[in-house]
Formats: sequence, structure tokens, C-alpha cells
Amino acid sequence: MIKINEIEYTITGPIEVISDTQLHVETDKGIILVDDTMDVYKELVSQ
Amino acid sequence: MQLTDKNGNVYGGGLVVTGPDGKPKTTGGGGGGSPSGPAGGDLSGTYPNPGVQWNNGLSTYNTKYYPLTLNPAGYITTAALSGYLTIASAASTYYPLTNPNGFISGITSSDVTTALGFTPYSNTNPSGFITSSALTPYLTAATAATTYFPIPTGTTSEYIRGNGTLASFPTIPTVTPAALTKTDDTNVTLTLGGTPSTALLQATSLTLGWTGTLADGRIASAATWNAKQNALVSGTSIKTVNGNSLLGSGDISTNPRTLASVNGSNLTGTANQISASVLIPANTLVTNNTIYIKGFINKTAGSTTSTPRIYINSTNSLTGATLLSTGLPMNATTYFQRMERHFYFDGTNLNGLISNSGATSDITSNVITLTTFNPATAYYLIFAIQNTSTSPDNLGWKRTIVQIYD
Repeated sequence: MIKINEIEYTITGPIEVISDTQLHVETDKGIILVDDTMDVYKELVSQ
Repeated sequence: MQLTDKNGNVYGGGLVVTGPDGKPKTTGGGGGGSPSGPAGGDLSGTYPNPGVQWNNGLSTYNTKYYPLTLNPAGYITTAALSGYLTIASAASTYYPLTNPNGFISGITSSDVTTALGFTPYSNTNPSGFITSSALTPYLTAATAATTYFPIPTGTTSEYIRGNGTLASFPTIPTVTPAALTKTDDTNVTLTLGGTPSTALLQATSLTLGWTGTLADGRIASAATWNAKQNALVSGTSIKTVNGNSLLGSGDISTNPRTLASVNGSNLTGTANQISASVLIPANTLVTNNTIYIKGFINKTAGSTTSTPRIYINSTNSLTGATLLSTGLPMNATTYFQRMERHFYFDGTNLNGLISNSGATSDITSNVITLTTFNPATAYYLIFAIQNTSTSPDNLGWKRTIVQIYD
């Protein structure tokens, strides 16, 4: 589970790297773009 | 010999009698007998019993000497002196007759002028008299009498009228200051200045109105004014839209209605970037509305893969945005793509074609993607592009239209 802008998302699918600084994360609320300006970015990249 | 006067007083011890020869004739001297003959001097009658003359031989004796018989006290009383001046008083009151001309000394010329009330003519200044020419600007009493009204004797409550007579001032009625008021016309207003609340002696008002028609000369451009459209009559002077009158207020909804039409930017670089965006204001969508998106996407250079995408976010940023759609990847010489999507709002979610499967349009069948949408929140539709290599690959959303179907 990740939290973006006080909204909790449950990761439901794969994480796709779409650029050097951006990810597509499949969640219960759709595919979310996560970039390196977000705290959760490093956590997701390290997985 | 002793004598006794008629008042009984006794005088002398003896009497010496002198004869006509001047020699005394005494009774003790020789005895020649008693004298006889007439008496003389202060005596009268005849001897031997002569009388005494009390006037001392003066016939005027009684006119010079006050007889003691009439003033027994024989002195002058203070009361008798009251009408007389003392020597000192006379000296301080009168000039002595030793000043034979009778002049009064010590009087100055100033005293004289003061006593006269005017300066007496001086023969040392013979030219100082008043000439007739000097009197020219002066009025004679006769001329003044025929020229001016005499000033009458009046009272403080009277005034002199034009004919010289007196008249009493009229009674001025007491008036309470009143306010100046106004009534504005719809178009013409009046502003009262100063102190209108107490400006008048009697209450007065100003009422502005509008009469007649404004003259052409008072219009800056009469030609323009006259060329104005007459009152609109729906279907006569202005057309209707599908039978709907255009007159009146409010909005005539069309279906679909265009929310925006934007022209995006062509971008290079490998990051996922925003080419264009459209705001969906809060409370724009209601249940059962459909968002229709039609975009023309073209590539101007490069041959590696470039991908268009559509996101939605509460801010105009890709950070945290939710993917709505993905277009077909464009590579080699594929420089043009028309991308269309429909998103049906069911009141909770936007219902659209699977978001991460590339397709030019949703006129097909595939997995559905549900994206949470709160109609009370404003959202941005974000039209993004991504190149897999750097320049010259250059992709952009061109004319992109967003419409809403009821």
C-alpha cells in the first residue's frame, strides 16, 4: 500500500518503469504515475 | 464845687471859674462875694448858677457823636461787621487802584482763544482771510435747503425713505431654516452641495424629470445611434436555434457541448511530459454524462517510438496523476494518429477502455477501466507524450477537443 496526497492506494499489479524518473503503478484506483519527486518513488524503485 | 448831670452822675470836687480876663475867680480867694453875670464857654445861663453846654460849643455835636443814651453799650458788634471786607480779603479780591489802567495781568493768548472758542483774526496775517473761491466747494444754507432733505429726527425703529420722510421698519416674520430636498429621475440625478439641510428659508424640493426625446445634437454619434438594431423579435429579427429562442437570459444547452478546444505543444525528450491540458471545473459532470475526447496527434521528426497518453489529476501535473488512456505507439514513419475516447460517468467512476493498452479509439471492445471521479472536485485532463529517444523525436497533441454529452 502506498499513500499519495493523503490517499491510500493498494498496489494490485506490476510497476512499470516508463522513464528514468517515472513509474506506472497499478493500484486499486487505476494506474498511477509516480515520479522521483514523490517520497514513495525510491521505495518502489528498490523493490 | 461838684456837678451832677441829668443822669445823676457827680463830677469834680470843686468848681474853678475863670473871669473874662482869664483869671480864676475863686470863692476861697479873697472873698469878693458870689459871681454874677452871664456864663460863657461850656457854661450857660448866669451866675451864680450857670448851666453846662454838652455840645462842647459845637452846633453839630449831636451829628458826630452817637449819644450814649441811645447806645448804652457803645461798641460795634460782629454781626454789624458781617457786611464789610477785611483788608486782607479786599487785597485778594480786587486789584488795587494803584493799577491806574485797570489791566488784568497773567492772561495768555491761549486763554483768550479758549475763551472765544475760535482763533481771533490776526493783523500779522492779513492774507489769512477766507476768499470767495475758497468757499466754492461749500454749500450755502439756502442751497443746501433746496438740494437736500433735512435729516428728520427719528427713532431707532425708523428709517428715512426716498422722499426724506421717516417710516417704521416693517416687521420681519420669523422663519425657520428648511432643507433643500430633491427627487432624482431614473437617469438624471442631482447632487445637493453645501449644507442643503439648512439651506433655505422655506422648504423646497427639486424634482428632475425627462421630457420628450433626446435631440440628435446631444448624442455623440446620432448615425450610430440610429443604426442600432431595433428590438429583437425571436424568429423575425433574430433566428432561433433548433426552435429555441435566443432571447432572454440563461443558457441554451447543446448536446454535446464543447468544454475546450486546445492546441498542444510538440516536445522532445524521453520523459513523459505534458503537451496540453484541459480543466474540468467542479460540478461540471453529472451522472450519465459522457466525456468525449478527440485529438489529432502528429510527430514532426524522429523514427523511434513515441507514445501519447491521457491522464487525470486534481492538479495540472503528472505527479500522482491517474492514467486514463494510451494511444498507439508511433515509430518509423508513423507521424499521424487520431485518438478518440469516451468516458461514461456513472456517478462514481469514469468508465473507459482499458487505460494501458494502446489504441487509437475505443470503437472496439476490450477490458474496461474504472477511474474514481468526484464531480464536486475540479480535475485536469492531461494530454502527455513520451519519446523513447531524445531529439529529433518530436511528438505533440495538436487540435484536441473535449466535449460533454448529456
